[in-house]
Amino acid sequence: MNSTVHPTVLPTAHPTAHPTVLIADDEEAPRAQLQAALARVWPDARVVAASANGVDAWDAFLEHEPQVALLDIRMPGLSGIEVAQRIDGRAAVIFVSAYGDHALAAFDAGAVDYVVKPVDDARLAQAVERVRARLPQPGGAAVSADPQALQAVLAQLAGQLARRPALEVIQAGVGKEVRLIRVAEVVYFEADARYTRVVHEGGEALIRTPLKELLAQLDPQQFWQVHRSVIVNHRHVAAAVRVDEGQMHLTLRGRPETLPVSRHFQGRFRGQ
Amino acid sequence: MTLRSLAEGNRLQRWYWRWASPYYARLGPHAREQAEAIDLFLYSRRGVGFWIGMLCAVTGSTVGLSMAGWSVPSALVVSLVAWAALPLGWLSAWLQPERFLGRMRRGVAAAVVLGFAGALTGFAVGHAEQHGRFDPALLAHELVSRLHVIAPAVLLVVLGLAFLQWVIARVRRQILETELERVSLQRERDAAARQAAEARLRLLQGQIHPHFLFNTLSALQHWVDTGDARAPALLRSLTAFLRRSTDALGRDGLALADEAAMADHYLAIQRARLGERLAYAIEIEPAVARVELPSGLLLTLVENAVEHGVAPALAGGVVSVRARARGAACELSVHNTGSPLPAGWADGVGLANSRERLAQHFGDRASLVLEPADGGTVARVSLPLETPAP
Repeated sequence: MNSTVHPTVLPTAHPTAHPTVLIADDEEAPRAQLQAALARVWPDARVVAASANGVDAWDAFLEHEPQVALLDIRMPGLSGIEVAQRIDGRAAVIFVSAYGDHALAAFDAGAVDYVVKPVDDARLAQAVERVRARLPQPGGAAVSADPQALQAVLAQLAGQLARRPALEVIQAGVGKEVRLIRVAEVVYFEADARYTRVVHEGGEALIRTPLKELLAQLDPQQFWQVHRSVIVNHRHVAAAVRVDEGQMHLTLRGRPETLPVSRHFQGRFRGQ
Repeated sequence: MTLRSLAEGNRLQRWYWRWASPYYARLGPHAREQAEAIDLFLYSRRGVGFWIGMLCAVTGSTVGLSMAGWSVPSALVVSLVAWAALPLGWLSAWLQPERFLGRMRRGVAAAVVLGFAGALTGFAVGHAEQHGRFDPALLAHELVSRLHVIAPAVLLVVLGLAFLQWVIARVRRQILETELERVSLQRERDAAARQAAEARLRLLQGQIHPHFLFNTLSALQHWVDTGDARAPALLRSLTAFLRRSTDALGRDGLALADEAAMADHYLAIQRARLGERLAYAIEIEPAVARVELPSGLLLTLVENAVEHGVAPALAGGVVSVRARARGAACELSVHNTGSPLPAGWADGVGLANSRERLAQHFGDRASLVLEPADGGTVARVSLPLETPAP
């Protein structure tokens, strides 16, 4: 296994001069207003996704790998803080905060770029300018000014926000009966078209809850997302195998199947 | 021009004030004020009547004593002493009734001793004047022979004076107690008024959250900028909501129908902002529409349902407000299908205030409970149907 320190993964798939941007806000008006303001102050930027909650924002990040994320703090599913923690420096984050939000106080420490709603063009231009200065050039450096300071502030902020209780039981319809599956007994979840496949110690079932929504309800210490469409219970992981340049998969205890690990999540598996 | 204090008077008044001020300093602030007022009365033009009265009294008793066989100088001295001592005693009983009543026994005993000493001296002086010389043997003889008359007379006079003084002190104490009661009643009323004002202030802070206002205005701004058709309706809802909540601020209680109208405008605003994630329904039975509840109570519950129930839920939810009569109670419920009540949940500021104000209005006849219901949370309020007399 790779024993070197895993570098911050750079979004390399953007050969054009148009930096890609993700916008997330749970209210439509401020989302549209932010998008309009961004078009005025940064006409080159291309908005690849405008999400209405934290779960969609994270999924859109995995799908589009934008270079910049403008995240509202209070959103259903995952908060903007939690999305930023998951992005983990792989995109420049600018927080968008409502007036009077207590979280603003922590932002003034300077580790975080933020703008207050309703977004003012001049203030947004300032934040964009700071972010542009450290956007990765082709083959360039990391996007976050000080990733460790940022993660420290984010951890502190995440502690302030009310945390949803973790899901304990999943109800899955199988034929005419509804089975109760203890989350602790789940081996992995896999997105499967419009459903989510739940593979557990006693078999498997299909549920309607999308994988991205389940993710927000699971204990992140126990359930690791390893791919946009796979979440695994780490207790069942036997080994992470690097197959090829940029390719990795997981083998499971007592199970034949392997699970793919996408580039974003490979940093979690490295020798100690 | 009326004199305000002897300290500002003529030379004589100033001199008196300098002499008396150490005595003033020993009194409590209230008694001191009265003592100064009495002195100001006595030692200015207004007190002339008193001095004329004193002059008449001293003259009268001197004449009386001299006719009873006393020499004029002795009679004058005795009269002066008696008429100076009596008002001073009454004055001190008036100014410091507690001090006087606290030392009753000692005071009466001292008065009896003094009375007898005075009577003895008077008797000796009278005797010497009658006989032209001082003869102790003859004096003792005469004293013993008349003791059965002198002793009861002196005792009667002394006890009578002491009783008079006691009455003055008691009356004065009664007055002071009434005054004290009035003052503490006033203080209680002031405290109640202050509490009501603080409750209204909390209501103000609770109802018009600046972030609610700013976020609504910023959505409105965007829709006005882009010519969105939703702007006029949102502006109307916001105006109606602010008008109603401003009206509610001036009051302690509000009819359920008015509260429901306020909540309706609030929900319309939140619906405009959250879009399809929020749905709501309000049903108030006509029988309970006039029930009065602490102003802002329903709105607080509805705000909690939106902010902690629907807004954090991915799929959003429905807020249902229902009020109906059940027996002698009005049952009000605010249900949201958004988020279940988290375990280990504790009252926030808004809910703690609501409980406190319910208790102020209805005592233990009202209740407020929060519990999980149908995957969401419900707040249930129970109020007595008949409104208590204000």
